[in-house]
Amino acid sequence: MKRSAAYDRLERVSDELESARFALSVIVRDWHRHLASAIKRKGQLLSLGDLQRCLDNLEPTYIVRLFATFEGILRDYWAGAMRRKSEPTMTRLMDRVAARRRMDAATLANAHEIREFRNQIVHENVDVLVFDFGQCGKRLGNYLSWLPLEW
Amino acid sequence: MTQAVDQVRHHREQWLDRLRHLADQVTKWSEAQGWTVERARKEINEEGLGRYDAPSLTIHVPGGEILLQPVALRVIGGEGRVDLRARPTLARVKLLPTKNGWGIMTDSNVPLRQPWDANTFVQLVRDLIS
Repeated sequence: MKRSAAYDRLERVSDELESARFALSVIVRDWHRHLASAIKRKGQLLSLGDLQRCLDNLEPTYIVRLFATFEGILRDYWAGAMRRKSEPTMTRLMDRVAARRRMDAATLANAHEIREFRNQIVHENVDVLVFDFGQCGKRLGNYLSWLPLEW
Repeated sequence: MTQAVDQVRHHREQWLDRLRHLADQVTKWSEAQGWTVERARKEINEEGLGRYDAPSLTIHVPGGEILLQPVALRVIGGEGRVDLRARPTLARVKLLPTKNGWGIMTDSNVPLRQPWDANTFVQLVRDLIS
């Protein structure tokens, strides 16, 4: 994989978040116009509240996706460049890749904070978005900058 | 029918002219800073406009790269869009054509009301990469 392709993947997630946010916000804003075409779900029509909740949770949902994409890139590096067959935990994977690339401690620590934040989102333990999507992207992107141009 | 096809071709050519001019402008401003610029072509396929190759740039700056990437002519709420993306920070602003040049839109959809010139570009690059 080329490092530029890894960035392309992360940027695509960002673009999809933007598209989803736009589409949902348009429907929520003009709800009455879209009411007639609301899709049937288990015999019930979608409510404005369903869509508003989806919109409210969009950013954390996409942070989870962003992190999953990041994880996929690291696992590709682990198997392809480091020629490992094991499936380490994400903590260990991030530490081992960082050690291999002689990454600075701050970059690794910043990326770990995003991992912990992702875990909090997954376990529905987040009241406030401590990191927004852009901050998550920046920290994970900085981590990836330590990988070689191609592996 | 032929007239409609000519009109589409005309729109596409006008758009490509603007993109070529933008790429030349950004190349000049970047090289004046001592930044290396790689030119490439990006294939875009737009409904109604067909497939075309647009100029794109990768600018190597201290601390990362800046990508100038045309997105499309037909976009919601505008007449064309070019992305200025930074790596590794993944920060981005959108450039939207205006009468006299390009307007800058942040990812929060708040416009950055600065003139599109060399100073703004250089400052933007530094902000995107930091």
